[in-house]
Amino acid sequence: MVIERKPAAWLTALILLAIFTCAGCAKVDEQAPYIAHEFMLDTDIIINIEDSRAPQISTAVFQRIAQIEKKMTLFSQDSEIAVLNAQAGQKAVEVSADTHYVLTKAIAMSKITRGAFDPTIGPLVKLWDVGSGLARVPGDAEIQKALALVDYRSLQINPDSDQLHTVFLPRLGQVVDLGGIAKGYSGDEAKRILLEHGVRQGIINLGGNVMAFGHKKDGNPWRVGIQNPLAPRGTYLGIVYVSDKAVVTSGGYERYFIKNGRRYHHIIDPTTGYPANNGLISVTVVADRGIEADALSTGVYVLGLTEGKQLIDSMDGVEAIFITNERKVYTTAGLKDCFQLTDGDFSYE
Amino acid sequence: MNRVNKLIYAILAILIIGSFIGVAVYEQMLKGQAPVAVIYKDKQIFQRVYLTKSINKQINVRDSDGHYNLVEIKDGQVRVKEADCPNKLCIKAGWLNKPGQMAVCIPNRVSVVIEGAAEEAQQPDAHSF
Amino acid sequence: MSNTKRLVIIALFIALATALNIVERFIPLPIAIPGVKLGLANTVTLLAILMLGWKDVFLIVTLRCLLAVLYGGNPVSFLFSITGGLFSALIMVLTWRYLGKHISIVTISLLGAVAHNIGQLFVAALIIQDFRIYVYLPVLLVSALITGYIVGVVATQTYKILLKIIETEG
Repeated sequence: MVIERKPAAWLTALILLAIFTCAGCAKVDEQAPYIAHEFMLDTDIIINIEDSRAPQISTAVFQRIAQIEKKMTLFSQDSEIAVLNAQAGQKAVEVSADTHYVLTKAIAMSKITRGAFDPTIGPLVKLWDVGSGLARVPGDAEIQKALALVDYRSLQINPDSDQLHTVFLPRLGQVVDLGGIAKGYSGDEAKRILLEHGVRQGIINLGGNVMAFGHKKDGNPWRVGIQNPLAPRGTYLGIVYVSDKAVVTSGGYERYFIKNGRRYHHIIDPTTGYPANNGLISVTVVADRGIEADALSTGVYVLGLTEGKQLIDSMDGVEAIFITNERKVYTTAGLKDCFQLTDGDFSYE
Repeated sequence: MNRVNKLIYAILAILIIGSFIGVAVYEQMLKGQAPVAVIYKDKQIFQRVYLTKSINKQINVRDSDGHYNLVEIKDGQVRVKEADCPNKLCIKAGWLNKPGQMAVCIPNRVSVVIEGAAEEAQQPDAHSF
Repeated sequence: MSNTKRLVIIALFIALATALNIVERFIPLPIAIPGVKLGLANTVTLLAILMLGWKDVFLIVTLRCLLAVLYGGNPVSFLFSITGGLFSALIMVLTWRYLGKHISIVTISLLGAVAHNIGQLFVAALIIQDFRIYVYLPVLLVSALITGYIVGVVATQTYKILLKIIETEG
């Protein structure tokens, strides 16, 4: 009996075919997701992108955020904002285009929220000092005194067209605090830098302040989990599906202290001087720009459900999710199909 | 080559190509789903672990006879790290990370399968808090 | 073939198959999938099919699997080898019997190897009650082609030599 040539040839062909098919399945991983962490802006910042130069690009983003932080932080004596505050009631200070832009935007957001968001909230924030561990409930007189200094309308900013960017806080003791807006701006800038480097999609998470840009690689929208305000961090009560949006949540559940059985959180209502108490435990704002989402989430949280929802409804391209004390979840019309409530403890209204 | 031989080769070819297509379709079905490592012991689910980058742990699957398989989860992958079975095929299967992959230990009746999680159970891509 | 000669050949085949089984354990394989083996002992099964009756074939397969346990096997590998071995032998016996005139030894060997792997996978699936183990089927089939081909060629050549010996030695 002789070995037949033809079956051998067939076999070889088959084996080759199989090998090629195998090779075909193996090549799938074109680009591994890259995740970079950095502690900045008093929070954990995570960049999640896919690119062959992801480490360098992430570094560029972090450098940019460091720049912004250096200009706007209150934790340093020589940031532009610290200098502005130090010169309150004395003279106008010159600031960079960054700071000028953020301040201008902050004032615009204050107008839109009718003062519920206010960058001059500083004196009250300092007074309450929630999160420092030394917090106490201030006396009424102290609060009234600080409250008198809080007024976004008093902040004088020269128009952008001027050669020099100058800002002036007219009254002694006034303090600008960009804590409610700098992260949002950093998210926008991070996205801009990533786009400049040709990164088309990714997630930048600035301590819960999510900038989801582009869409997922498979073409689906990003899935952003919304924190359950009554559960430990990482537990989400629902998922919002977004492409190219900033998702920012504000709530009193993260930073607070308890005195005499009462809970005092860090979002101070600029009209009362006390922690906002309008029936909401959390608000998530979805907007094109991080800076708007950031300021609006604070503002709307202070405004409460009825007024807050009216405001968001009146704005184009901005949506929100409201979670009330009674565990009821409300969304604006535009989110009806993109929000999925997953926690049965909450009911969807 | 005669006709019968040809026929048999054709059947073999169809069988092989068909099996490749079958597996490809199966993997395609699972594609895009969140990978969940499911450890089975004696046909029962022993543990389910989402394969996210942040979860690192070791799970010892031990039975009353003292037989064990030590399953390691790290960087979004899963493998059988140690086992007392004779052939150690479960260990040789190496790291698994894609839905559809599996490592099997027949002697201990343990298998580690990567399944795709249903949409509801999927981990979100980011978390807003 | 005289009865004595038959008995001697059976004994020799069992010994040879057991030896091949042991040798095979020392050959490392690039893939770790339950059931992927060279299956060198299948050469003996194939030769037995060509030279002896089907009852002898099953006897040889069963005994070599039992012996393999004594030589450092374990209950599970026995279960695998016995089901794979018997299923493969069955397929080869049937094809030899009914299609033997039309097809080559290599083809029979290929069918045997494929049957062997499908059978083993089936046992594995039954034990863990999880038929997803069939994701291994494509790889197992390709490996069956390779090993089946090698075994077929070796058996063909050995058969030719053995025939000569038997003829000349009478």
